[in-house]
Amino acid sequence: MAERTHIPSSPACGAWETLLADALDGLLKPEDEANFSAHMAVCPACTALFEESRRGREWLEFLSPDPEVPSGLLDKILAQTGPGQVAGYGLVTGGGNVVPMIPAWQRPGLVGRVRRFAEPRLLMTAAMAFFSIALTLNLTGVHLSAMRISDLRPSAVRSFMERRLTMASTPIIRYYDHLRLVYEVQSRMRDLKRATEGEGQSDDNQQKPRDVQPGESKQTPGHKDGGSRVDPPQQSVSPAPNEFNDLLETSLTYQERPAHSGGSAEALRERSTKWTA
Amino acid sequence: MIAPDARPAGGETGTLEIDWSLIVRRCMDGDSGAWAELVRTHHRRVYGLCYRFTGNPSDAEDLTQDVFLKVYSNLSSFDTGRGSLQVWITTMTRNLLVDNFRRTKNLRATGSLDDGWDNAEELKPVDRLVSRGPSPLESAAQKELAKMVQEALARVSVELREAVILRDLQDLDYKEIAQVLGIPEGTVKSRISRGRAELARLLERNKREVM
Repeated sequence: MAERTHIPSSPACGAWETLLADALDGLLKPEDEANFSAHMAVCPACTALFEESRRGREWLEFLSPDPEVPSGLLDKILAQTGPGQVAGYGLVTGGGNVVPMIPAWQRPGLVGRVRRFAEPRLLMTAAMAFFSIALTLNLTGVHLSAMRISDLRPSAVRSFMERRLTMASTPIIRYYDHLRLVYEVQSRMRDLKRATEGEGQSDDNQQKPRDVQPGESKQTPGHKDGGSRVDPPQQSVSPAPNEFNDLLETSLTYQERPAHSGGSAEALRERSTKWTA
Repeated sequence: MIAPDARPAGGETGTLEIDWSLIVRRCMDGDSGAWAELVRTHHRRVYGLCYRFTGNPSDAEDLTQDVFLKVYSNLSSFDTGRGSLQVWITTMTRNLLVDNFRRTKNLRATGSLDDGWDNAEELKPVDRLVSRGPSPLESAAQKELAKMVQEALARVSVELREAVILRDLQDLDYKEIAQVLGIPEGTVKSRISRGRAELARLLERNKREVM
């Protein structure tokens, strides 16, 4: 059986199709009736459509009793609309002219609006936004459960942020401090190495460092002995373990050390120049 | 089958229309009694159209409320010269239904699980209360068939479905349907015929699958 869904197969079929509804209503004019029957006799597709259409109308009779209106619907409508009951949905008084119909999305009811926002993609967007905010708060250490209204005061927020910044800057300061120490040790080793080489060249100047810098007592014995190269670095590094153990102290003494260590390095350099000279 | 003489004659409709235009004017003057009368008279038809179109009672209820919000907001645009109040309200209902259909297209494509849930449920308490007929068995069979037809109707393509509902379930004449849908009468007639045929095909295909 040929199934015709939308497009009539010929102009004759199209003309016949417009008569079909009237034919089923029994309202076909006599002159149309002859044409209608003549075409149906030669066109199997139209015969099938006639039968299907007739049966479809019979099926629809099962829906003839109107659906029962939910109880309370009338009251709901009257509670939402009517004179004095509409908030934001007042009458559009635009004279007697016919105003073009306002699209539904511009003037929907509250229910319609809620339903539109319940679309999965919008809900997913909202969920993603929520999770990213929650994650950011969690990473920055803000716990919503532990939060109080008083924490939201500007001064409280400010002090919290300052505390956070201080805590973040401490490790950075420590890092540079450690780096500085390493450079210091390296430069001192370089100086001592040079000093040892210089020692080999001129043994006469062995005692000079002690004379020049009597204050630098701990470092000189190694040089004086002219022994292993391991000793002097060990001695120069000797304050380091304390510094590593107590990092806070390191950051506190940070201001003082450059002058001191720089001074000693300078002194060493002075000594080396004197040795080589 | 719908008898052609079941509809009121043109003269009666005319006299009714005069009343409705007066009532509309009273509504616009702030007469809450007139508005209540208008809603009471038309809400069943509007609900029926929404229910038959969507096949979902809760959607139909929400949409009916939306329709009357829209009707109330646009009362001043009602013009008796362009058609009866019934046609005007039906046009608004139909536009809202089509908008809602387009808007929820994606939702329906992903909401097949919910459909399954709806189909699996038994007769609703409301349906059980209103079931009437000679025997409970017969009325249950009747309900089951109505449910099946309603489900099939909800699957008929939109432009055919609206024409069929307006003609066979809302009893509008071809001219009124042409006004509501904004298409020529000839097109209305062929859409109705095709819609009925599509419904029959869907139902008979279901029956073949079941057997």
